[in-house]
Amino acid sequence: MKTSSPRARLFCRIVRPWSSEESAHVAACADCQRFFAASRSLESGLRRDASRLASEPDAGFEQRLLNAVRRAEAAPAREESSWHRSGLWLAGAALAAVACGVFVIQRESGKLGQTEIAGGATAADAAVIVDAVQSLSDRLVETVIPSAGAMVADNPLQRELDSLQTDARSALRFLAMNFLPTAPAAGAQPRSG
Amino acid sequence: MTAPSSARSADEPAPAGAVPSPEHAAVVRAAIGGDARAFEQIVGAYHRRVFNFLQQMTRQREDTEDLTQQTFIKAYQHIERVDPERPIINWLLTIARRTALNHFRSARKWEFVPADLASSEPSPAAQLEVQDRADNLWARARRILPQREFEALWLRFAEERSTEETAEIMGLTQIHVKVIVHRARQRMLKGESAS
Repeated sequence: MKTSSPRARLFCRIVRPWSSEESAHVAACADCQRFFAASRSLESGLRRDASRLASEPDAGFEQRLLNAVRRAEAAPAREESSWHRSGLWLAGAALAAVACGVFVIQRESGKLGQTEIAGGATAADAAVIVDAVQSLSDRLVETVIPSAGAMVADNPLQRELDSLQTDARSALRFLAMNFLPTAPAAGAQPRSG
Repeated sequence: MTAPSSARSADEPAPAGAVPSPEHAAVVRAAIGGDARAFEQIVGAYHRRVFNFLQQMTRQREDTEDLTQQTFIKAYQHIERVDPERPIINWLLTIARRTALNHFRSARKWEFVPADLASSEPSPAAQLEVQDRADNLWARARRILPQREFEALWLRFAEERSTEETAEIMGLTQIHVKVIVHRARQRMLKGESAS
C-alpha cells in the first residue's frame, strides 16, 4: 500500500478483500478514514432519502392490478392456441409455396426447353421430383416450426395437421401428374447423359 | 417502500441473498401450485416496491402503472420459474427492469424525466415537494449519474439488495456491480457529472 495511489487502493477493494497490511494502513491513514467516513455518510443519506422519495400508487391501483392479473389467467391458453393456429398456417403456407414453386418451375421449363424435357423425362423422374418436393416440404415444416412435431403430438390439432399434409401431398401429386412430363412416346430418343 | 436499516460500510462485501421466511416460501410455493389467493398475497406484499422501483427508473406515472401491471402479469404467467427459497422481490425487480427496458427501447430512450417539469405552475404542495427533492440525494444522483449507475445505486441502497442480488437483477457480474457502485459513489462525493 505504500506506493499505490488512494484511487488504486480503493479499486483494489472492489475485486478482492483487503490484506491485513492494507487494513492496517486504512486504520491508520487519515485520508482513508475521511474517505470511508464520507462514503458511509453518503450511503446512510441515500438510505434515508430513499424512504422520503418513496412513490406510492393510488388507492385503487392494487385492485386494478389484481383485475389485470385475473384477466391474464386465461391468456396462456389463448396464446398457445393462437400459436398452434399460426403454426398450421405456416405449414400450409410452406407447402403451398413449394407447390407453387414446382408449378412455376415446370411452366418455365416447358417454355424454355419443352421438347427436351418432354422427350427425356420419365415417370420415374416425376416420382423422384415428387418425393424430393415432399421431403423439402417436410424439412420446411420442421424448419419453420422447430417444435411442430412435439407441439402437436397428443393434440387434437395433430389430425388437422395430418389432414393438411395429406391434402398438400395430393395436390403435389396432382400437379406432378398433370404438369410434369409423361413417359416418352414410342420411338422417342432416350435422354442422353 | 420498506427500507431496512442495515448499515453496510463502503465496498464491504455484501452477504448472499437473504433466505426468505418459511411463511414467505410457503406462499410462493402455493402460488406456484396454482393458488390464485397466494399470488394475490404476493401482489399485495410487493406491488408498492415494484411500483416505486419503476417510478424511480421511469419518472412517468402512467408508464409506471402500466409497467407494474405488465410485471405482475408476467410473474403470474411464469410463476413456476421462481425459486421459493430466494426472495421473490429479486425476481420481480428483474422482470420489472426488463419490462421497462423493452418498453422504452421500442418507444424512446429510457431516460429520466424530472417530475417537477411536468407542470408549469406547481401548487404550493408541489413546490414543497420540489424543494424536498432538490435537497434529496437521489435528486442529485439522478442529475449527475448515468442511468445504469443510478439504477445500481438504487438497488443497493434504496432497495437494500446485496451486490449479488443487484448483479442478478441487472444481469451483470458482481465485480461489474461493485465497479459501477464505486464509480457512482465517487461521482456523488465529488459532485461531478458523468457527461
